[in-house]
Amino acid sequence: MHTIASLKAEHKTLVAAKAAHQVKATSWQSLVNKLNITSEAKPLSVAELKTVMYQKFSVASTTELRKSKSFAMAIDGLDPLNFTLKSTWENLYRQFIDILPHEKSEQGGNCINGVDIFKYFRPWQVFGLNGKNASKADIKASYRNLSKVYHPDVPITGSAVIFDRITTMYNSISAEA
Amino acid sequence: MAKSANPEKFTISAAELAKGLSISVEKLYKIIEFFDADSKDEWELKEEEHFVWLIKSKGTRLFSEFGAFSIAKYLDVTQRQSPWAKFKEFIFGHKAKLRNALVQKQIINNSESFLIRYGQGYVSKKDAVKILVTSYTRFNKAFEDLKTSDMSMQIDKDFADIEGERYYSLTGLWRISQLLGKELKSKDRQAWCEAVAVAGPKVMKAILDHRAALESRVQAAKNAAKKRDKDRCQFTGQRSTAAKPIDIAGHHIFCRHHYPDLATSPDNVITLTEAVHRDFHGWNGGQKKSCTVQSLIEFLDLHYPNATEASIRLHHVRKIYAHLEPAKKKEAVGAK
Repeated sequence: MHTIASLKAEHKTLVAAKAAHQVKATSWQSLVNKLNITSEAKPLSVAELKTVMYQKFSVASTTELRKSKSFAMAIDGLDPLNFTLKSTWENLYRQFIDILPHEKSEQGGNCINGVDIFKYFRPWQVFGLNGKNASKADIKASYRNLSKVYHPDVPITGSAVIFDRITTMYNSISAEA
Repeated sequence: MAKSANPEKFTISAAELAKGLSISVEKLYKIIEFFDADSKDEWELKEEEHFVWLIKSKGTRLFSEFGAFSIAKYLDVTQRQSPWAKFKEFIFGHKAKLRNALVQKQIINNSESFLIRYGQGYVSKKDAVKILVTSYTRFNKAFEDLKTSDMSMQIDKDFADIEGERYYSLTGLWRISQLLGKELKSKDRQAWCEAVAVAGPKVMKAILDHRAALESRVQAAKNAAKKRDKDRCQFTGQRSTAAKPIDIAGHHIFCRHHYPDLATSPDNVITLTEAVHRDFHGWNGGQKKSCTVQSLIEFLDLHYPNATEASIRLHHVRKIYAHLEPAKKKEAVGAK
């Protein structure tokens, strides 16, 4: 089992190695995996969030990330980002990396199958399907089941915004190229 | 400059090569002189193989990678200088620069569909496939792979169906180019897809800026034409006055969509009342149908046979632009 202290030490080493362009993708992925396993109840720090984002866009600093043309293309259409806020880094992590460790198996009014549908676009998890082998019929059946709960006409559990989001997910995974 | 049989092979200038080898341009030319001095020794630069002349009378040349390699080899053997690390870096950088220029050209030539929708840039699927220089089959597979992944492609964010046609946003194009960059077997193809993500936003912004500038020049051409025609409809003779204002339109004789090069020329604009303008487009088959001087003459002869001055002017325009071909011929159907 990894301790938070040992991971922090490893993270510090990786940050230094990254600054010297020596970090390997496997080391970074390994850190992400360990963070996912270890920090179940503990949110990632800003430094940890930054490290994985820098790695994703092959940059060494926030200044480089802001100037990265690839990053500019990836975030086209988003409102201007405030990089001094932790929430900005968390949103970027949600969009480009993975589910934040402390948000895995979330429960609450906006959550379906352990995922907050307004924070994440994860149709397969929400529909309880595996994208690699789900058929069109499976998708349709799952959508129908969710509609029985969330359609605005359903008393108590019905919600227009949740149903809209589910419909967007349904249209996205049903679309052809 | 004499045209080379393979111009794409000779892209390295003397200044670039000297910089890449960390020597002065003067020193490079001395080495070249040495290469040229004795045609029987082992050091030789052959025209069309190692270099082509840029300006022969001045002795300036463009080198191929092979030519650059020969000079680097000479430095390695004779000057006790080991230029290989820098040379590799130089060739790599040079190739990336050329590739970025080609990617940029590819995006510019295939961005006619580019539009902004809810603050996001989109291109049609047809253009997206061309920009990534891939096949429909490979593109469709990349879309399927992303769609079935945990982080699926999102409708109205990564892609959208606009007026019955599939479009991909820049974020969608970025995701597909990243995936192709990782999965394609050819290193060149990988590098191309990665370069799209680098060049894309810059070029798209330049296209938007150009469109805005073009729009203001088109408006200026229409204003100039209205001023020239004294706000008078050239078919009916009606004039807009303070006492009796009427809407006057600047009509492109050759429509701007099919003849974009003439869109900013006042000579290609004629003033008509909005009613006449609308009638003409209706008669011609709608706003999307191509307009030419010939169709306008036919409309004039049919509906305003007494507008002699306008007729003379349109026949004059027809004579001037007799050679004109539409910029875009209808493309073959087949793209899915």
